[in-house]
Amino acid sequence: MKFPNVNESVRDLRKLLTDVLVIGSEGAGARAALAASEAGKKVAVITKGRVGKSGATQCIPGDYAINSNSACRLGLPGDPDDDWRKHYRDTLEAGKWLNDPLLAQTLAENAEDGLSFLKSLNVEWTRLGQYPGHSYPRSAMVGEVGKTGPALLSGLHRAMHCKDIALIEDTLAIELLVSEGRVNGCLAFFIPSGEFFVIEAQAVILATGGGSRIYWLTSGPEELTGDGMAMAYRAGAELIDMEFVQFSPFTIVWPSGLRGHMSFVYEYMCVLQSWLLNSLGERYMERWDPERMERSTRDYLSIGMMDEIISGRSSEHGGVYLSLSHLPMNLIDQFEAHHFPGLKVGEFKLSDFGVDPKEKAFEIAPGAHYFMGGVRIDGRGATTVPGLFAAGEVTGGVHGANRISGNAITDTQVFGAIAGAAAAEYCTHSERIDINADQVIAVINEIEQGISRSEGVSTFNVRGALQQTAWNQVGVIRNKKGLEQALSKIHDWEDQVGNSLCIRTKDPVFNIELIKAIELKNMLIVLQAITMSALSRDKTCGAHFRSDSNEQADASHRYITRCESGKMTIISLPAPETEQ
Amino acid sequence: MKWKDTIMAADNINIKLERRDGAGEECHIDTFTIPAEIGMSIMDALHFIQDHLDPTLAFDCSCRIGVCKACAVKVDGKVEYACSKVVKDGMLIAPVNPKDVVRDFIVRPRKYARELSEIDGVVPTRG
Repeated sequence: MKFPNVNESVRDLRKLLTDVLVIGSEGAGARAALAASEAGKKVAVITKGRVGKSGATQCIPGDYAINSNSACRLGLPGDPDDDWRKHYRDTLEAGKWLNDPLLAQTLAENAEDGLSFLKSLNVEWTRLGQYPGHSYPRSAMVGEVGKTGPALLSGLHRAMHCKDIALIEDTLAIELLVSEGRVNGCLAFFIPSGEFFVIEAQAVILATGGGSRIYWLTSGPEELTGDGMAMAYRAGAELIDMEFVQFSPFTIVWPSGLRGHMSFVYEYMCVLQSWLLNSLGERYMERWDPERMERSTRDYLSIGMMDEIISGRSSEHGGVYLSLSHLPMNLIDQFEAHHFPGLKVGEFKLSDFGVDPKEKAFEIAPGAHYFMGGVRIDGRGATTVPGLFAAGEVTGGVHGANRISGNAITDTQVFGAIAGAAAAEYCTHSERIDINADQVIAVINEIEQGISRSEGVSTFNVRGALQQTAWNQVGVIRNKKGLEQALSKIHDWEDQVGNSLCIRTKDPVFNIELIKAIELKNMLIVLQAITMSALSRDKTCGAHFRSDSNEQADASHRYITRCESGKMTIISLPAPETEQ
Repeated sequence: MKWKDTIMAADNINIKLERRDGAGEECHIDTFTIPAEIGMSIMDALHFIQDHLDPTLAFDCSCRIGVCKACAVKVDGKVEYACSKVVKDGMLIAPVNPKDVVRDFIVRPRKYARELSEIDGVVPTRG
């Protein structure tokens, strides 16, 4: 069977004309679309998943970070002593002062507006908690744990449905279109019918999220393959801080059906005071943090785990053991009855998964959780390419070298609103220019080659190998040798994907293999950017840990990734001069 | 509340998939043999099949932690989320609403699974 419009001329492709195109429909995308629509522009939103059933915002168990004083004003039990400057300072502190100060300030200063906008959409904030890294209670939440993300999204999506916003689901953005140095649309792929089509827009906003799925173990959803970062890079935009990836040490590896879960591990580990053991039965945290042991901070816990894993002392399935064997069984029963009545966590009945933690230890390891790095933006959400804007996890610079709790959600709302308004403004002052037909044809032809091959490299095999390499060599613990090995593998995979990738599924309707192949190309770019930035930063800093450097942490520079003469290049910038 | 003894030996199990090649097509049952792991979910099994046995298999998967509700399937006649249910030997997995199948386990409401022609042209405005 033939794809409906491969080999057709660009003139025959379907076209959609809009003022602002938003790629991504969840936290940042929905907020940006609302802001652009509010400014009187025609807005189209595309998502490769489905609205309310994809993306990272829905998975957020936690919170929206807002300074305690503002929280008070919005009716939450905050501490009036706090203000946005203190929130700003904590954000910089965690970010090792590498944050773009303007972006971090914008985040802290506009958090109140962001939250009151959500309140105006009937999102009812009920609780204010305090998480590590914040010097005041700043974690606004909706109802019980796990409800904040879905509640916030249903408010945004309800509002989006009330506006004249064209929502197109199951549609993958393949490539940003560039004419005369400006982004003026995108080549898209409608997955249900397997058709390519062109969206012409005066401004495009990326809200595609991070790239956690390049790692074998992650708490992120299936869609986070770094598409926005890779597309922006190919369109000539700069990426920044790519070496900073946040890992969560509370991620389940085994039993396999619970892999990627984080929420209840925290309770077992921190409320119940469980032990972490390696394959020799040692409480190895002694070597990293003898005082706090398993109550250490997330970065030490992650580094400690990964050290056991790469030193050959991992648990059976590649993590470490979360052991409760030192605790009396009736105490564990009491804990479970209190925290997980019926042994249920959401839709999951833990007892169904065949492992009773009183008898066998769950295995856990650090899972990729958040990308601090991403597309470089200015205070208006504009990237370094005219016509291209970005908001949310796809961007870099807001959080610096590490991120504190709640700031991710605040980021989506603050910068979504800013990027939406700025993109609308940009439309008003720019002329429409014709799309670059040659670019469209070249991209379609390349994909068509993969479909027409009858044999070659399998997408799934390369994807699996890439995820393992990313986790082992470009993950929590990095060193020069490992990073160089990873880089050489990335180059090999690029050659293989470019020259001999075979998409074995030939049917155009819902061709998941083709989608994965397009994602794979993006994952390779993102992993290469992380690897090269991590090589450039040869000392430990924030979430970036170099095991081959004994020197003090170095936060004197930031690293930019961009394409120069067709090659990925890293450029160093002096760290921002922020008053400490 | 007792922890159930559902531990399986790490050997092969068979699962049956009720599949359709496109909207309105006849269904066929494919049986796959997969190496079972303790606590393996239906979602793990579907991914194993897609990765190693049949790349054409289509199903929805997003969060994998029981939040997004995108992965609903019928398991031996009962609607379940593929990510939150453990796989068992001999299980029959079917789409939740066979009438609205686009392919295999991908189900979209009729009004939704529209022709692309509807989005041809200029972004429409209401009123």
